[in-house]
Amino acid sequence: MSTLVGAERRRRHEERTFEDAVAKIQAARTAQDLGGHTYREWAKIVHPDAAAAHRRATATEAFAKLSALYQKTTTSQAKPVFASGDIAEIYADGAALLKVPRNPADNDLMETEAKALQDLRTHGDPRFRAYAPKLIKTYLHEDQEKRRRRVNVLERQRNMLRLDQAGQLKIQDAVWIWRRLLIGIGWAHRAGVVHGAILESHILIHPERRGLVLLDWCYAGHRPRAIVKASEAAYPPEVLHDRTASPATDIYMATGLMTRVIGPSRMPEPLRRFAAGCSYDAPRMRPQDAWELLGEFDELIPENFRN
Amino acid sequence: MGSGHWSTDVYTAAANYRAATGKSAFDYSDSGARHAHPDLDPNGVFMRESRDSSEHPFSTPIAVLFDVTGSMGNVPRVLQTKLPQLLGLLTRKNYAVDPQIMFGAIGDATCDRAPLQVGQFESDNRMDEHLSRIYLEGGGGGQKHESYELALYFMARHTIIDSMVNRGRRGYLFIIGDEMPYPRVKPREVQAVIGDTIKQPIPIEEILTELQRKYEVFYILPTAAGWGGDAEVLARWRGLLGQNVLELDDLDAVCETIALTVGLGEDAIDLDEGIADLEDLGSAAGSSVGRALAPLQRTSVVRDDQFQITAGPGGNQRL
Repeated sequence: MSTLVGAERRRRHEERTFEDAVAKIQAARTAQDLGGHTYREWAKIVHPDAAAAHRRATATEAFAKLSALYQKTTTSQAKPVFASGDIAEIYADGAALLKVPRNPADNDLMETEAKALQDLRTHGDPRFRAYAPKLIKTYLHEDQEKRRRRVNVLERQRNMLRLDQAGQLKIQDAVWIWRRLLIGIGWAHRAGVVHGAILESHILIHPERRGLVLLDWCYAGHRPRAIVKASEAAYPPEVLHDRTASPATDIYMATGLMTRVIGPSRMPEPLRRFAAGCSYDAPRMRPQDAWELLGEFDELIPENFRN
Repeated sequence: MGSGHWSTDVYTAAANYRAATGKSAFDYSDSGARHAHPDLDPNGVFMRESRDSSEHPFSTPIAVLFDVTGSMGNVPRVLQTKLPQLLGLLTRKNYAVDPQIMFGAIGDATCDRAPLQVGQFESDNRMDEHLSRIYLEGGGGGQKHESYELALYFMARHTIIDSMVNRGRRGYLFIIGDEMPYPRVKPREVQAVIGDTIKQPIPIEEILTELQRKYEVFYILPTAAGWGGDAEVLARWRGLLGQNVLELDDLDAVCETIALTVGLGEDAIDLDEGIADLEDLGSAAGSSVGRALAPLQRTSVVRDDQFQITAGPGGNQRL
């Protein structure tokens, strides 16, 4: 009868599925290797209660292995920390980085970052997108203690170097980094975004391709909510005293950063003057437009450096 | 193209961006002030000084006084936002050594509450404080005259500049306005506004001659202002200052104009170089500044060690 044939076919199919599943689970070393189904789907196939008597032992064994694999991911879902920022731990997950604030009270800063990166996408000139990481998604994560954390998932930047780990740079390298920095902040300013924390640890460089990525947009905005405590000395007075920030704030911090990177004593005279003219306490006395300033910068440096 | 990978081509993307500035640049006026801030009140001031110091051994004094009366329309406000960047521009471009800048404002002594406001020569943030404390009168008499002569009098008699005393280099005085000076410095107004007693009126030509011993004096007429381009006003100032009258058709370029003028005067650049500087920026200011400054191109100063100058007392005595 057709129903019997159908049942037999179904039984054979289930058997094949079961055996495949067991084989895959036994072969897997991490939960990632089991990409085909979710945990629940696998569990349904190999659960001992569902298995026929003669397969129960196999099922129990496979189920145990499956649980172990997923147990591992949930407890160390946070794998090894990829990097530690001012307020967040960063975990690598393939092509993405998960940025998780240590303290849930810093969720607002994470939201600021998400908003800034979205604004850069929406309002920024798309040709300059490479100057900031792409926000893949942002979500609220709740842990077992019911603490909620805003998690920003960012595109991972490969083969790049953090500026604070780059060691002593040649002046030539400092010059292209300075140029890229002005381009990056000018691009953001035109999109209405002030970075607010231009510091060594927030800059990635790609020495061969002369790339620069500005990280950590948590402090963005015209009314900054926080500063990087360890770098208090790098901030201009308007941030510390008035809690305001403008494009002139980024210009001040970028200038201070490049002065530190080169070292005041190694700084060529024209660049020293240039830096002095960007570093007044009063924000109104500083240049207001990073791209216009780049024009001035380019005049100071040899032509073959302007790239 | 696409993500472009760290595109650096900002020059084609640059146009027409105005940075949002944080707090109002017009603190003092907007707070409802009705008279000059004490720091800027010329009454009883003995001397405003531009001094050499160990930090700034070769001071270059630059004074910028602008008309704040109603005929100037929105111009004073624009100036108040633009001028803070003058020092940085001079510094970054090395147009002048150790610039010290003083800001001030000119009104009308016949009817205004604050006919003259003068800050101090500063080489740091204080100049910005002075600038933001300038009270924007918005009054004026509407008869094409303002009390410029009073400002000239103050600058001539109540400033002392080391660049002149120590090095024989004149300072720079820029007057930005759109009307004519009254023909004479009047004793009554000098008494009321500055506190000096002078016996008789001083013709403007006379006070200007005295002033020009200390300063290279320029008059900038923004064409955006009320009397901008007015033939009578221009003719009057040209008669007094000759080629040092500059017409400026783009107010945004005011700092560049002043900076380049100083650069030219200090022989730090020649005009073509200066204009090229601006055009490199993709700045629209280039052509405006070029038109404004075209008359100022001059032959350069000779710098060599051909002869030794012996130190000794001068052959004359100033009265």
